Amino acid sequence: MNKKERRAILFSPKDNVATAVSDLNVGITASLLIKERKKEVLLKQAIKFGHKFSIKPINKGNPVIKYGEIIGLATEDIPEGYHVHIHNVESRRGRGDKEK
Amino acid sequence: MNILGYKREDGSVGFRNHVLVLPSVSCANKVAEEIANRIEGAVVIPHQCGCGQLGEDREQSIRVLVNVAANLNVAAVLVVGLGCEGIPADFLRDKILKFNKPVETVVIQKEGGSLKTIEKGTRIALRMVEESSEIKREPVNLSEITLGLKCGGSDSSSGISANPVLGFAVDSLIKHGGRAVFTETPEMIGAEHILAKRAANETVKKRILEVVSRFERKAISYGVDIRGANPAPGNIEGGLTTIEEKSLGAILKAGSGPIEQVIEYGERPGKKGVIFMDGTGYDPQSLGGLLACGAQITVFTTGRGNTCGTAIAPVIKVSSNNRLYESMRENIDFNAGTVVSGEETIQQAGQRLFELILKVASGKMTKAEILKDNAFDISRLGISI
Repeated sequence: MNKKERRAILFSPKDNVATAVSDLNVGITASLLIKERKKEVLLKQAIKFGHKFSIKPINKGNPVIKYGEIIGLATEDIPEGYHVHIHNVESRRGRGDKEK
Repeated sequence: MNILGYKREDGSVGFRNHVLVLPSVSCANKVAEEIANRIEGAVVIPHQCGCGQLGEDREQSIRVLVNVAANLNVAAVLVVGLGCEGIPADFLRDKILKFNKPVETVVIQKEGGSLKTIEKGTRIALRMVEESSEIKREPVNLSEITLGLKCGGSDSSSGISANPVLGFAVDSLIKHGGRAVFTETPEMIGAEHILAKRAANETVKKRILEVVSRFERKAISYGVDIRGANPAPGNIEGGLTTIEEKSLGAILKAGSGPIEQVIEYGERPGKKGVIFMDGTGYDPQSLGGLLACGAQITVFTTGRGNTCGTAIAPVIKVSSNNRLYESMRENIDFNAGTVVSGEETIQQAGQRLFELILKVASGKMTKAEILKDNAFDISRLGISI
């Protein structure tokens, strides 16, 4: 793929989400390089610029990983190619609501 | 490598040469503004503090007001007081005098009202500008730069482009012996383990973990999820899901060098290199704290767009995506969106940003300076009494 046309960015080979770098429609395939191996992810949902999608299934309660670090936990099972955001990820930090 | 700056009496260096009209209390804001607005070369920072404050809250306001006046971009200071405030003008003057620059005061109750104070203050400011304008720029070393680091209106692209690009420029500055101060403690939550590994020693490491934990506990005490305040609604719309994700992207702007010191909000650092200032992520308050800790220039990265500048130090706005650059060019000085689109590498853009920082140090004006943006606020630790 031409660099200028790239659709998504993966920060670390440990990551289970990638970040869209243009608005991506349903049915588009995003190509990612994971440790020099090409991975194709078919998008089941539209992903807006800057938003994340799963590049492998993430089970409920499991960590969502970006930058090679845990950015939160999945609140439901997320199959590959789905939008990963506040509707299906919760933070583990600053949770005053859980202290009540 | 040399840049051009204003050498102060003790050899230290400013990159702007302003006369600061400083209200000691918010009641004196209007008079201070009237004075500064009449005088070319004078700037003012209206604020909401100076009275009805107790203990550590009062101490913090004093520290910030004095240290902002001490900022090396300030050649001379006129403190404007009301006369009955808890942080009096003469009290501030005595503390600012230690920094070897001309300081005078005018007090509204003593002069007999706003108009008389404006007249007297304007004459003082006129003389201060006349005198300080004789100081000429001369070649100085890059190590004289204290660079403030800030992000605001972030989206997911900030962590891809603008923040790592700024990180590269910070590494270059540190190699030349300079100093860079990053802040925004809430945006360390979830990334503090990475910062702790960068600590120059055990004391700094302990301090990093302490201040982040202190901040998180404070946030938790409100009994609500931090999400919604941080990441803010705009951050979330831009694709940031959790505070951990925002933090991991945010810390990239602090480069990769050792963290030499952790300072309080608005404190003057004793060391060079990368410094962490404990403080809020609220833009005007971060910028106020950075001015007080001595930043003569600040770089401000943004993915959604931001307008904040300061009257005292130039703020370089860096966009993290091409869309923002196209839509808000009048506010953006540098586009790092080229890294997202693949037109440039982080290193290439980082080198370009480093060169822009040096140009701005030597006198090139930033968009926020030209637009006279003046975001300034002091973080409060207590209630008004």
